[in-house]
Amino acid sequence: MIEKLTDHLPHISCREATKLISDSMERRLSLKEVILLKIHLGVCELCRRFKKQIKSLRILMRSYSPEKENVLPETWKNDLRKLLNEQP
Amino acid sequence: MSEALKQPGEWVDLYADDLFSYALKFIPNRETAQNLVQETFLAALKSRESFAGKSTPKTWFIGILKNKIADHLRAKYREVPVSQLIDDDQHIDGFFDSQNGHLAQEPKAWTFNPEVLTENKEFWRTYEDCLKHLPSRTAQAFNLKEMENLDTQEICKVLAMTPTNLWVALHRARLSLRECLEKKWFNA
Repeated sequence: MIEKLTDHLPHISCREATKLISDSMERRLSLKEVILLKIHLGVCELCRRFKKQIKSLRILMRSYSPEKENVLPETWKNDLRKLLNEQP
Repeated sequence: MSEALKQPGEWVDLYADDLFSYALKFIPNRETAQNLVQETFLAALKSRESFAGKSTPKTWFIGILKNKIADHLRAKYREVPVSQLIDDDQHIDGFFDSQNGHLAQEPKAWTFNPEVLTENKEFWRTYEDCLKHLPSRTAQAFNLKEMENLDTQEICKVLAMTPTNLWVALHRARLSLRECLEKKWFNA
């Protein structure tokens, strides 16, 4: 009887794995988490794709700069300047 | 009092645009953002004796503004049912197959050129549509993290969340946006 080596390794579900993938972009994973995730990614192509996709999302979002007009109107500034000068 | 804060009339020229830009990250409504900047200056005027000069005046103003933004958002979110604000396990369930535990919508390989796609207005419209499926605070957390690149501490303070809440919210956002964008864009 041939058993796969992976049958004997501790395993986590895709649900847990995707959470760890997401968390790895926010915080440092513990050694245990890193190992569990590595084992899972070794056998799960879907989670490997998930990881790639959410990293792509980050790259896209960080390179996106919608044109924003962030300068306040001069009239508004004048009014505020006056208001601040008049305060006791 | 610190020399830097002696002339309130000059604050507007020195700091107003920076404060306004910062507020816009959190508050898309320009008028509301302007009001918060004004409130910040008025609050600063009252409490400028307490400015110890340990940070730059700009950092000090931003600190006051952060509190104003947090107050504003808390008041706004109070009107929304709690279930729509916080993501819990239940919300995550739907993304997984209850039988085999795999992602319910199998991720496909995405092929795209980031430099080209980021310039594509149609793609960002699709993104905005997908974002609408998320609770407002979750969507906001995702934008602040991924678009504005703010750090965990800053987002948590302003959105009144714990880091654990934030990470669950970001995860939920990723599960949802991934699925939606795949359906409506990458695999459409």
